[in-house]
Amino acid sequence: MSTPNRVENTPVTEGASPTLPRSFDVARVGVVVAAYNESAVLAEVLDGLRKRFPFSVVVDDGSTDDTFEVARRHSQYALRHPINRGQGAALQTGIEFALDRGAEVVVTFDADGQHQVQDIEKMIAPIVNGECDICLGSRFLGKTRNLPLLRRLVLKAGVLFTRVVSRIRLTDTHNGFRAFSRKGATCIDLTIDRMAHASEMIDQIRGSGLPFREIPVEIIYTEHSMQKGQSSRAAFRIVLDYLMGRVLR
Amino acid sequence: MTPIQILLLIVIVLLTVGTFLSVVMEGIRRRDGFFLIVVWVLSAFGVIWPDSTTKVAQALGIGRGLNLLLYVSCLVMAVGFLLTYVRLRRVDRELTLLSRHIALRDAVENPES
Repeated sequence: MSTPNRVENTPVTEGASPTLPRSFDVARVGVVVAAYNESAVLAEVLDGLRKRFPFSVVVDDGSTDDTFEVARRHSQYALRHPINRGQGAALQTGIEFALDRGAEVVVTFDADGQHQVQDIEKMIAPIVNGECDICLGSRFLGKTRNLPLLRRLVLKAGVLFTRVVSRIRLTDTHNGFRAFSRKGATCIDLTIDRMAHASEMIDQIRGSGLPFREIPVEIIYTEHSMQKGQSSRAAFRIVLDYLMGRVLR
Repeated sequence: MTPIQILLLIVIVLLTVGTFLSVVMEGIRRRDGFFLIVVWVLSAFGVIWPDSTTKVAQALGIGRGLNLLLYVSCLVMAVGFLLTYVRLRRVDRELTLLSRHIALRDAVENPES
């Protein structure tokens, strides 16, 4: 199965050093973080981000804890959904805001500490260098620490599902670490609010015809991220949401 | 006419009047109101002439009037669930757009950044 807009001729290998041009201003990279009840770890994640990428946008998705206060103090911009709408809705809000504030590259980054700031440069380098418009993080091309077997199986099933339903060949379909050129981010218009947005985004990337690439990234599963993450049982609801979203679109 | 028929007809008349008033007061859409009134009138026919459902059922090759009612009820329920789901999704979408509008409007910039 071939995916027409996938760029494969110059793969980025694990450990490859980021090659951002010296002239590139990292303040033009808008890092969007969707957060729901993440006050326990959010400050640490945002402080790590801010050292390298000052343009951070946190969308508090109607949290009931101090997430918004933490975001207000530790990120450049803090937005708040008045009620919980789901990660897909929060990401779309953040992407629209980042574009509105002039971001030339938009990165989506998890709030729970699973993603590594040092991987961002690796993710955006192909975009900044004009090799592709979209980079998708892949934990199965990179390192993954403490990934439970059941979660691994569910993720692999998601890969297979995407290959059959969306007709796109990826190694990791539900990784929240993504980077978009401005043009790429403009093509994203998520209408599925909850976790099934990841599959909708892949459909939109394929539909846009813009060149994309998978980049190996390191994902570290912590006790916190495992508690916050979707249970493997939720996979069935995600599939149902996605299919209903496709049928009733 | 048996007591149960009288009771059912009273209920159907009340439902018809209620539906009619809802349409007049714009509580429900005219199209939905018309559909409901047709359902109530057909129900009244079924109550007054119980054998009529059997005749229709036999004409359709189903056999018993009760089976016809069961099949029609299942169909109506399935369509009702689907329509309700579609409407819920629409409301859900509008809630998201409203939440987004508020979030974008009230975005806070960190003065220290």
